[in-house]
Amino acid sequence: MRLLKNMGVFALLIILTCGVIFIPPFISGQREDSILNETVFRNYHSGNRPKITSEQLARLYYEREINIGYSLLNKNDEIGDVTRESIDNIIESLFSNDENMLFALKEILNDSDISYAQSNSLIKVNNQPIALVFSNYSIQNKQEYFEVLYEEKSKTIISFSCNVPEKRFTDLDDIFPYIEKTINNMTDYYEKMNLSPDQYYASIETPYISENEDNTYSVYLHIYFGLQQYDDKIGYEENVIYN
Amino acid sequence: MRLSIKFFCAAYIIVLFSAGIGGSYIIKNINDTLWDTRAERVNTAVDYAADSFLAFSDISYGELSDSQKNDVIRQIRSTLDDSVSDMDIYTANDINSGYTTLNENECAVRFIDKGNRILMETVCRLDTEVSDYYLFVYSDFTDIQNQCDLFWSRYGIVVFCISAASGIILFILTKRITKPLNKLAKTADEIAVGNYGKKAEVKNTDYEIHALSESINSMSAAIQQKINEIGAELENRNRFVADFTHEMKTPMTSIMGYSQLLISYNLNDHEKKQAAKAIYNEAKRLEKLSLQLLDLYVYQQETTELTELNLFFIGEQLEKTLYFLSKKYGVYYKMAFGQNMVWADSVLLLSLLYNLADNAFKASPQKSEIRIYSVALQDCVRIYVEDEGRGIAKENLKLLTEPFYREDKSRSRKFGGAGLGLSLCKEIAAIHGTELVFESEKDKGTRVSFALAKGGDYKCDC
Repeated sequence: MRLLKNMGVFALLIILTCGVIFIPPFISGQREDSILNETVFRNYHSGNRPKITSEQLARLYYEREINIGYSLLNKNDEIGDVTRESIDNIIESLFSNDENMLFALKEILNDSDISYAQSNSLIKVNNQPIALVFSNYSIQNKQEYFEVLYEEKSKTIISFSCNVPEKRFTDLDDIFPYIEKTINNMTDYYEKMNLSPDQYYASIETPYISENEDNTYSVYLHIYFGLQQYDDKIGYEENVIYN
Repeated sequence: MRLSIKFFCAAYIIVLFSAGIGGSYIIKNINDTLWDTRAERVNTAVDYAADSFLAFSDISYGELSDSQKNDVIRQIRSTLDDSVSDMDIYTANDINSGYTTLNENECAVRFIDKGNRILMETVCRLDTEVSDYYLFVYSDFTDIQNQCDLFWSRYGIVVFCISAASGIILFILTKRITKPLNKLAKTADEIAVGNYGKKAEVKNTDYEIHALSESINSMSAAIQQKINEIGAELENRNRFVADFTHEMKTPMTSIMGYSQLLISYNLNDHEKKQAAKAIYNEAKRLEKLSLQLLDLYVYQQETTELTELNLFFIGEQLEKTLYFLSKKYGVYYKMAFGQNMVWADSVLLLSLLYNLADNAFKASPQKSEIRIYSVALQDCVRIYVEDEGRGIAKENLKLLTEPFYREDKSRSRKFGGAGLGLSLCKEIAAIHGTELVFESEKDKGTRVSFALAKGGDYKCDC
């Protein structure tokens, strides 16, 4: 009788042990199964829509934190009004104090087919996402070329290159000041963004100076300026004159 | 049920439940933390993805085409960490109606089981100026689930090992602890069947077990001693009964003999008178014996209240009896009691002194002297009764106060004694908180003394 009682006690202890070992995982599994397909609703916490300034964009570009890829290429024979407006804004912001240059560039653009490409890029500013729109406008024909890479949100020129149509000077000595003034327009544009000289470049090439029959001089300028990236230290050159 | 098994079961259950409850709590907390941490990360990623998509939608001029959507998704995913495994964007036309009931900027989160993978599906409705979009974000929780399952399996293994190890250790411990108790139980059984004085030989340094063992040994020794005392008491009673019967038998035999003589023979007047006198004397002896026995019984049973007495006045009362005894036995006496206050019962004290004096007179030859005097000490008064009689052998001194003991039976019977006088004196001395001290030498005399407390103290230690 006592043996039966002892065996009963030990059997009970074994059952208790098995219960302690297996019941908690079983209950946990049941709980996990119960939350499957159970829908919980929450509100999406929208962050602030940050803005990006030209200065911030230039810094990010310099530090190679922006990748620009032309994944979308639209070649429109007729670009939309928005794009035309953007181009006008660009050249006006650069050459507002040089009406001749402004007029000449507008003429080129109006008479040419503009190729337009756009790419979007997602970056993080203060841990908030910002989508950037990079628009590339370009014209290339036998005589002229014009290309600008422009960021629409911050309204920043990433790079600009074009050839300026023939400019006539009566005095050879007037050429250099003009070139200097043109360069200053470009550097002023970036200096307003508080950029240091190694963060941008600005250069003018004068491939051709010719003397005309009326004793005037024709000068053709090639303008290049834009933002630098780290380790691309070209600096800016005042002018390179070659025949 | 045995104590060892009860103790083992209780301790084992405590260990088992402690390990089980503690382990379960820890594992559950760890698992919940893993789930919640991952879910929090996913929620943060979802919010960022939603913000990113809305940032793109701000710069688009119409509803996004499929290629644009794919580009947006690719760019957003490249900014997210590995907590997001898949992502997609749909318009209201592309999804099932279950999600179109979502409010603006509301997200629905659920866990789904997809082919042995546990995925957390988050669907957020994002409203733009152009259209309503639904952002689907999937996060794979299969690794978390596997981790949780692993923790639970390890929990089972650990609890099993703990219960097995603790079971073995507790079993050994309980056996060791209760082994001395079993030994003590066996010792108690042996004492119960009559092996009194059996000692428990338990070598255990635990205080409780050691104390119990010592108690059982003390109890065994006390039982042994009590048994011995009871045995001695029984022997004394048997001897008392035997002696009493013998003492009764002797006078009864004489009475019956003389009565038989009177009945059976024609005696002359002188012979008849002699027989009657003998019968009377033996009857008187019997009466004295019964009265002494009664006194002995009374002194043993009753408590007497002592009072302060002047010993000198006790001596004056005693002198009258001494004069009579002196004349009877032809022995001189001297008595000297001081003016000392003592605690005593006057009647009993006189009875004691009378018996001692009577014995001294009986033991002394004619014309010798007995002396009765008191000596005042610091705390008590010692009273002495001295004689120059035949003395008592040293080996018999301790038997003097036994009932019915007589050193010289022939002389005692001659004087009508039954051997109870000194027994009575011993009881009277005990009532007074003292005892009789005998000093004697054969043929040189005997001195008996006892002490009484001085007035003011009930007891003395002299």
